[in-house]
Amino acid sequence: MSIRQMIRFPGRSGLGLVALGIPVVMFVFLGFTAPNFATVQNYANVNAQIAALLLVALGQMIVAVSGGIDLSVGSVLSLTSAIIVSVDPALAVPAALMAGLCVGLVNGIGVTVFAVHPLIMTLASMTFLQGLALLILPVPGGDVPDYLEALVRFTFLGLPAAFYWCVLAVVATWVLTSRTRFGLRIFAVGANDLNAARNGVNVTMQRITCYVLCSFGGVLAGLFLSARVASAEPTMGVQYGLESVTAIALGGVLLAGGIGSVPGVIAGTVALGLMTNGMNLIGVSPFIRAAATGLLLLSAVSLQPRKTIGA
Amino acid sequence: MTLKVWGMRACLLAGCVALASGSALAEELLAPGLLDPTTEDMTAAGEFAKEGPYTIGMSFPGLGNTWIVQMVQETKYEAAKTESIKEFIFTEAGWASAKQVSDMEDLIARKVDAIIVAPMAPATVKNQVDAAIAAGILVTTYGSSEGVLNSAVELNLGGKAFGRAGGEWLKQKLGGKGTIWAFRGIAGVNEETLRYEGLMEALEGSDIKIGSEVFGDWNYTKGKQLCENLVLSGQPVDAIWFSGADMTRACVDVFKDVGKPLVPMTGEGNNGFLRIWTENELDSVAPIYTPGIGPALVRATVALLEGKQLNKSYYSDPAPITNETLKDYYRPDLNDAFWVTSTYPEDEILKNFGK
Repeated sequence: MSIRQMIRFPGRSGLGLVALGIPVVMFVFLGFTAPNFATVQNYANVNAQIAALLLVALGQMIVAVSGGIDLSVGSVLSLTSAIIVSVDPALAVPAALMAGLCVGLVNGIGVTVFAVHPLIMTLASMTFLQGLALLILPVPGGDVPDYLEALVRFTFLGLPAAFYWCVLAVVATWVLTSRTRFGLRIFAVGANDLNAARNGVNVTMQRITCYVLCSFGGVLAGLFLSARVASAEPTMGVQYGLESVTAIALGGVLLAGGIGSVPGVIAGTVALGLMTNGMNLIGVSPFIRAAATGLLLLSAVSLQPRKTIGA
Repeated sequence: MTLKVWGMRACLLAGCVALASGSALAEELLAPGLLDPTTEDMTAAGEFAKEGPYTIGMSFPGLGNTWIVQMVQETKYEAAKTESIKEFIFTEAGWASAKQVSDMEDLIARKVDAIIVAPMAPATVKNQVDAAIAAGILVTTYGSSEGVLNSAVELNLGGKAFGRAGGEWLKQKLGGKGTIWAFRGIAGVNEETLRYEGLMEALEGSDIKIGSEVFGDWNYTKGKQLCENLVLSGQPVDAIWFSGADMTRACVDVFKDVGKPLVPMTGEGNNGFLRIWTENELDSVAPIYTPGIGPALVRATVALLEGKQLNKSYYSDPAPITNETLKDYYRPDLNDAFWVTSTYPEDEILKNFGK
């Protein structure tokens, strides 16, 4: 396949030259321009910094591929943070997972059974969950269970824990989306839900499952981030809802559904992580940092093909 | 006179000398009356000394109002004119503790000589502060960590004293009873919580009740929307407490727009608010939360890197602006974005804030 063909027809994965090229170009650029970028410590930092976003973005990708969007995933992260320091340490993880399950079910049922637009549904749950997190934990603090801290602080074979969190999440999501019937069906639902239904796919069930999985991504990110920060914070996930959308868009995932891939999400997340890390190392003014991130997203999305499958 | 009494006198004298020298240093950090040491504990001479020139990083929670912009610009100006600083890296975390942790890690990886950290919440950056210290990086803190952070020096301001100053004034104005609205800052931010706790302490034992409580994010636009909602809802209000920044100015504008008589409102040392206070003969009090805290942190950090001694903690608690002292602070020749007190020289003030 020629470079031109790759740009124009990246296929169902959305993984074109732009999606893959951005992090590579940034990596090379920062290697030459940013002091102390090419160090083991900095690579470990970037890995730890992008891990939570990757966990959230993988969940967001599953929802996006099915044709939806989940803005509430950041608030799920915040709620998880608030929950794990407010209950018995032994119940912290089950309680957070249960909360994630409930949120995913409510979002999924709202979108499918009650036909609420995903933006409105998840915007409403985002606001509700953020308020709930602040009610449970009005100020940052609390003790994160020791076993959770141990799970994000260990090193194995010289690699940090964040690496293993990322690998596990990536492998699980890849298997789910590329090696199971569920994966095949959500691509079909996202590409054309009517056709999928006519071919015997239970569209409602698939979409609800997607929202539940996305919420689980938020819960895992909340567990990871709270343990990494060694403290809980009721607004910890505020920016993750939109950042996860940015990451998947950078990675070639089509927000209209039917196109996306795990490697694309990794590429998008790494690009965003390198952007933040690089600008800190170079010393870019915070006043132009947000603008630069927006420009990167605009450029990346503009260069990607915007055709839905079958169009 | 017994030996014990002589011993006590010697200790007191030593304490006075320590405080006096600390106080002299405080005046080198900020103008007299703006910063005072709060402890006799000193850093050891030469404890953090390094060969210059220095690379200094600063980790701040986020941007969002004119006070922060002025503080950042004054801090950068101070760093630029300090010959021993070769590079000053400012990072802001978008009010996200996880991003602040990342910023701290990046500054450590950048191998800076010192980090100035204004933590969103001290506990969230504890591991990174410890890692920086282990890497031989000097850490100075904006705000009080109450022992959580092992930083060399803490420069504190605002907090409970800020909220209490407004609360005490309102209690006196209302004669100890009435209904107030409370406009808070950004939910979940440590400084915001401390200011609110200061208000609650001031109101304790009085018959003043909080009729409505909203989070205006210390922001003019959001503060104005919230104030409009409350005013138009017709809820009773005898006075309003603000957690500072641009929100009072916004609410005064709303009262004027709808023609509602002004009630006592607490403010902050912002020229826009001081203008409205002056023009409308508002009844108010404005605690001073100086943007000079940024430059003071740069000065303290450089002093430590040069091997000088400082007290381990300082606090800025100048007398608030009152109806009587308003004319000493209001600058009609400057625009609304200016905050008192500034470390800029007069020509820079006029260049940045002149009308």
